[in-house]
Amino acid sequence: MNRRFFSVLAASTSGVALLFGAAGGLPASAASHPAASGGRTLVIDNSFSLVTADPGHMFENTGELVDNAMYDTLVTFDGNNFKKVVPLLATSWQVLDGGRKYVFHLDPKAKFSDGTPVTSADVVWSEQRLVNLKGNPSVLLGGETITAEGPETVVFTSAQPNPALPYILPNPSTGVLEKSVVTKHGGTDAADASTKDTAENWLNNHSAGSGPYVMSSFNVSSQVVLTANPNYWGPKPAWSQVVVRNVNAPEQGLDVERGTYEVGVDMSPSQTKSLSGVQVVGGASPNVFFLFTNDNPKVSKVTSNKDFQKAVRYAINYKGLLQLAGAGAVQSPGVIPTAYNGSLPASADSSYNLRLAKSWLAKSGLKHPAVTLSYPESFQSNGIDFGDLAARVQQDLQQAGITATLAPASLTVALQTYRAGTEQIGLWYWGPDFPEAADYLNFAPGALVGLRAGWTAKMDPGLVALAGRAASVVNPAARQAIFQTFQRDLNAQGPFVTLVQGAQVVVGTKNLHNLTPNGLWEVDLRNLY
Amino acid sequence: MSITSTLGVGARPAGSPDSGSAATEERLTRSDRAALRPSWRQPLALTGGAILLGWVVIAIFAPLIAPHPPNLQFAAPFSPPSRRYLFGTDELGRDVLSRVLYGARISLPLGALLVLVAMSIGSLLGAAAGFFGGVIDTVIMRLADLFFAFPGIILAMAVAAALGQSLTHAVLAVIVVSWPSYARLSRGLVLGARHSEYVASARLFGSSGWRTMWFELRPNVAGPILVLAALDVANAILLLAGLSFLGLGAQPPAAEWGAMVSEGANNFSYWWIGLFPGLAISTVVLAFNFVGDALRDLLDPRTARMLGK
Amino acid sequence: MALAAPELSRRARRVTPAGLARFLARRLGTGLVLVVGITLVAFVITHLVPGNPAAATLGQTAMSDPTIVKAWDHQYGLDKPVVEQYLIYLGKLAEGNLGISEHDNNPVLSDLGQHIPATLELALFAIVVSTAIGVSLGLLAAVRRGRTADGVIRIASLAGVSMPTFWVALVLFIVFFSKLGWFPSGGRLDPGVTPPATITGMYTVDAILHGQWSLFVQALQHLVLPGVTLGIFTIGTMVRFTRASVLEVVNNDYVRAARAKGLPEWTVVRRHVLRPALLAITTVAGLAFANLLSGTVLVENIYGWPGIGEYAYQSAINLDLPAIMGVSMFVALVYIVINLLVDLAYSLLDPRIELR
Repeated sequence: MNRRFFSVLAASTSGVALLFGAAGGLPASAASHPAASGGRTLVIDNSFSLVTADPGHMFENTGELVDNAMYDTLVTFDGNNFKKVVPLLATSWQVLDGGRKYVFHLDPKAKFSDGTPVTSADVVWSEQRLVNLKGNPSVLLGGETITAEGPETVVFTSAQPNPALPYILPNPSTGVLEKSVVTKHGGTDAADASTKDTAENWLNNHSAGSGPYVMSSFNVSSQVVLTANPNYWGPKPAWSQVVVRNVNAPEQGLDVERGTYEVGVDMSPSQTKSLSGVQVVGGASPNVFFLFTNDNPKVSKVTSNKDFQKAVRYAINYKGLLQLAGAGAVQSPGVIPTAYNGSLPASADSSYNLRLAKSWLAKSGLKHPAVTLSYPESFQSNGIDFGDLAARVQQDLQQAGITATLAPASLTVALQTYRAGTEQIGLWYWGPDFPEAADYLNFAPGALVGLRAGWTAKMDPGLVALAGRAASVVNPAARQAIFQTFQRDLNAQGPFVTLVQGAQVVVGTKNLHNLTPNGLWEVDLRNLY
Repeated sequence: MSITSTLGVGARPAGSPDSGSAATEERLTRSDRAALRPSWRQPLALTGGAILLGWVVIAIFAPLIAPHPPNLQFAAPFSPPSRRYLFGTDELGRDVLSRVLYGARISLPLGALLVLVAMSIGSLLGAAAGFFGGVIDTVIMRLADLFFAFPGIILAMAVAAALGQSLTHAVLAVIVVSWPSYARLSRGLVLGARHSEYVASARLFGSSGWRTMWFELRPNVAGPILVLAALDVANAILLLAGLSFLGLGAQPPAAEWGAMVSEGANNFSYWWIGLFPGLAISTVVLAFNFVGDALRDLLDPRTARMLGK
Repeated sequence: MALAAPELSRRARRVTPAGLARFLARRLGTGLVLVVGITLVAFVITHLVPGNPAAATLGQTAMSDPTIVKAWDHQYGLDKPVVEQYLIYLGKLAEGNLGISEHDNNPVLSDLGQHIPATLELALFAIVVSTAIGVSLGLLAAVRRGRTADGVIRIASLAGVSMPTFWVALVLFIVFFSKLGWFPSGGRLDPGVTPPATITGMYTVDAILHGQWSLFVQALQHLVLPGVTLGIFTIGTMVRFTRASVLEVVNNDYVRAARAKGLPEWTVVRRHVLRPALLAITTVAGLAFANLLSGTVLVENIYGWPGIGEYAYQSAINLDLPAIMGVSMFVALVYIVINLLVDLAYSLLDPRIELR
């Protein structure tokens, strides 16, 4: 059963599901759960992607699930609504200096699981440690300076405006640790923390946060057991014990069918079809699958032809791809997932039109074009295997008269050609680092992903300028508008063809409330009861 | 002592790595070879041969026999076996029967090919080691020891993962773990034959080393090596399928049996997806084992004696 | 397997203590060289490859930040020349340090310590089950040589070694878990159940030692499906070997003499056939056990059993170099030690066999 590397492509997995069915979650600060009572154990079946529980190093799906339960962050999302940031440790915050300065005011009630109050010193220490550990999640707070102004105020400043900051801070990697405790066990926030900090091992056996649950036991290959934090300063945790255990995706459904309070988070839509007596809640994952046709004529005279690129866009049978992705998947109108601010409406979807595809191909002057289609093999996301998807795309292109030779490579090898920008046509997905439009500026010409498609800043200075302006717009409405323009231009002028967002599905016993899939931490343990 | 020759355990080739000294005494004589013939009349060997023949025919004529192309996504996904789709359809609406039939075109030739390559490399190196002795012997045989002590499937996994997950690399990996058994066997056989009178006389008549090896030794060494190879094909096919099952060999959408069982494991509520390709592997491997078993009995007189024949 | 076997030859000589010491010293020396050689092979394979370990662990954005990649490479010593990396590894190895896993950042030694007992428990269960069944069937086949039972058992044992383990695992899983619900699914215990305090790390054994009987039953239930899957393959082997060794003994003069004395057939079999054959069978079981340890990869993968095979698989797909080398070394070590024991056992069993 191929449990395949998951977290590698997704810079981290974040975002939310568009729900069909279930209601949105309660805000974390809502009153105590109606069913809150002692003695109940919740079991989460998860195909583990787990390396560490130390927030400063943690960057994997299962890690986000458990760290979200153990570590409070300054702010969080309103249940599964990733368009709305709500208070957690910080009761309020101000945006100053055009988005260059953020001032957070801590909740004086907040305290760690040992009863010690949470102070600004803990927050500053935790965030500086995150940055200086130079681990996977360090990029989240790149360019930020974090300082304390009094015991209850934390200030983030950056040289460039960073309107995305409130959307970055809910990430459990920025969870606040109790400075005095972690320091005692080898933690440091100094500039050389990447070599000097030795607290990770301790943090894999204990927790030092202010969240509703504390660590009871932790094993990266079998199970993680959390127990309710008796000192939790917010609403009483709904479960006295939460067990997150490593179970292959196909078995999760049967376990849930037989479980008392049980959730499975990794099944593909097709795997849930045979289940009965359970609730299945699904929505679109924030991972956007896309094709690019390399714009660099040195890589391919064919794919850099703009008419050819249009032909490809019309040649793809998007509905067919949706069928492959299963119930709950959606077509991606642009690079920004449908659940985020700034995403395009479904009306902007690219459309399948074989006649137009053929006429653009004729216009391109290319006779029987042959290209290679590169993708990472033995790799799947949301139950979609890249190999199956590539075969379908190949079928579609063939219909339009384009011969695509499949060129799969193992993930680590394929990533190298992808990064080098030498793939003629590439099939990849982008998993967001944080659920905000700014992350998608990576697709601009001359930016990270743009360059991988051979699209340099020189080729489209207008769009480069637009992307630069978009990054610093703070006003929500204006921000939404400029990012939509950015994506329309990207679709019209750029080498990217966005395909689908796969379906993210959770399966749970019928007695559970507020069960929804969550792109950031799989399922929200704070609101599930 | 040929303890291991009767042990077909684990990912290791089932051959007898240690048959060096033992096989020397029991080198094939002409009369032994004559005794081979009845083995083919054994019911087990006959059955195995018939099954194999059937699979070879399927592999060659798959496009004519199979009702559908193996990768065509056309039917309703997860249709159970019916008159229309004898083995049902998989999660992408592909016909499982067609995929199983086409799967023979991957497992059979690759299994044979990689055993052929491992056999050639291993027996040449082993023969050179046995014939020339000295430093050459030491270097080659220590290398063989090394790969022998290396846990087979783990080495194969490391190779497949490091070079990248593909069928070609999985085949390479299996070759890397397979050649030492041939090297040991052929070295032992050559060592035994080297001191025999006919080799000595050939050398006396001025025949060069390689020439002697080729003309005088090869015929004596070839028999047991071929039997080892016949037994080894079964293990090679199993190991290759195992790697594909783990996602380290054949990749989607290829119709490879191990990979298909893996798809079945991902959708085990629909039993037919994984059952049939597994049955296909089992029958092929069983057929090879039937044939190999019969051959082994006849080739190794001591085993034959132990088995009471 | 059977590294040692070629060094055995049939020459009549007694085992002297001095000879035994010489033998042990030389074999341990060879073993040590082999283990170092294995680290070299693993090192070469995992370092001369296109894959990039950093890319297997770091995320996309982190990979595009050179300072993070540099810090990561530095942390695992990957910024040094390859030869130096290997020498450093050997130096640490001499101190009993297997390095730090690049994937989970734990010492490889402690990772191994955590995964080995799980596999050991599984392999022990499998070997006990398959030896019991295999020896009985093998004996039956030998006694009924040439008759229907013999033929059926022969075909069945060949079938046992012909079915792919991962497929048997899937079939048993579908039948006994999915359809019948007789056994629990993956894992070593039910969710949330605290394992017994570690003594051996094998849950069934630890549960008995602590007197936690319900825990023992649960651990055993979890053991059955993966254990039987693993055992099926070995049963075939045990049948073949038992049958062969029993038949070898049966033809000896003393057995004929016992028969001639008019002893009942089963007494002859029990006293004069099974007993001498048993020691040989034990050694084969030992070799089979060594194979099981590395053969668990596929079974553990399907049953979510957190053993050494699953650890090897995870290490391989994550290109976790220190972990791959650690696992390889461990399994090779098991082979070497068991082979040594087998040779010793043989020399005790049959004094004609010389230890060289």
